[in-house]
Amino acid sequence: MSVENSFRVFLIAVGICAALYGPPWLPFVPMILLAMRFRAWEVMLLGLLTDFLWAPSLHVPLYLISAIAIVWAFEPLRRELLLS
Amino acid sequence: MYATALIIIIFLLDLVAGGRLRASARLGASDAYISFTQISERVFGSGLFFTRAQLAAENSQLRAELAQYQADDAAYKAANDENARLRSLVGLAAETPGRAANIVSSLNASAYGTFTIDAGIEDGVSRGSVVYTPDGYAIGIIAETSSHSALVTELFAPDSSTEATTGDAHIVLVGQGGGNARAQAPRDSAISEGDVVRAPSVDAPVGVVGHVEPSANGADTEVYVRIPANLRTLTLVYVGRK
Repeated sequence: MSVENSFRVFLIAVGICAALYGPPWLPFVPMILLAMRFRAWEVMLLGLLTDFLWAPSLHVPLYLISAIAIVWAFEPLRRELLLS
Repeated sequence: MYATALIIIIFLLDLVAGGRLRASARLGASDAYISFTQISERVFGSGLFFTRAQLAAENSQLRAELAQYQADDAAYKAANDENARLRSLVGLAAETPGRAANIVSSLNASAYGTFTIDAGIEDGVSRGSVVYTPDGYAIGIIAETSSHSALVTELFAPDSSTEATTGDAHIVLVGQGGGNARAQAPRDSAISEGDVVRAPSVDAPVGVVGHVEPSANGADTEVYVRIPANLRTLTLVYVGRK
């Protein structure tokens, strides 16, 4: 596995641990880092997971909405800054 | 684009399935949480990650504590604490039919002011049931249930509001998270620190007044309410039958 992929897997693992054990703001850190560095669909998966774990069914899925926003908002920025 | 659509479809599928996907996720997360807690207790309890300075500090602290603990049988104290906790649960059970349940998730990880317990529909827990501390203070309401677990929404979840009474005043508690809430009461209200705050919606005490001070403009009184139990160390709750 390349260093880049290892870093990507590491960030996903950090995101899962943050969703499970960390304070509410912590999952956003790996989500933003992933979105800045990679074209990462996992960001939305992390958002979905966090909402599945903590949000009641009929509650607005704040993490999922944020994740979609992060992925699509960072896409032009990532392309512009040539991070990938 | 396809990934976004897929994620949204999964989310909608869960809604259609009545939250079954999220119940499965919570079940897995509860197992992971319990395993992680046990492993971290063993690893950090073993002193493996202590630095020399930490060990030296701990050593001197332990020497000081030793003198105290020689006179105080720790085993007896632990058993006594456990006994008191169970006794309070028995007292609560006599007044309110229900069952005890363990907290199987972190209490500070949720942005929604929620946590998971290991009792569900098949254990007699239903949506809307009130969740109490062993001391009998209501701390939450069951928001969702699956077969053997349930999601609890804290009464003092951030920005939640709960009508309550204390002293001679009716107040609206605005949750601050972490078992704390604040409210505004008329300035001539007879509210003092230590007063019990009751919520008619759950027909139980929900906290005690921790601090009272005049508001910035002087027109009202700011009332700070907290749950007497430490939520971070709470592992056992009592779920009333609805």
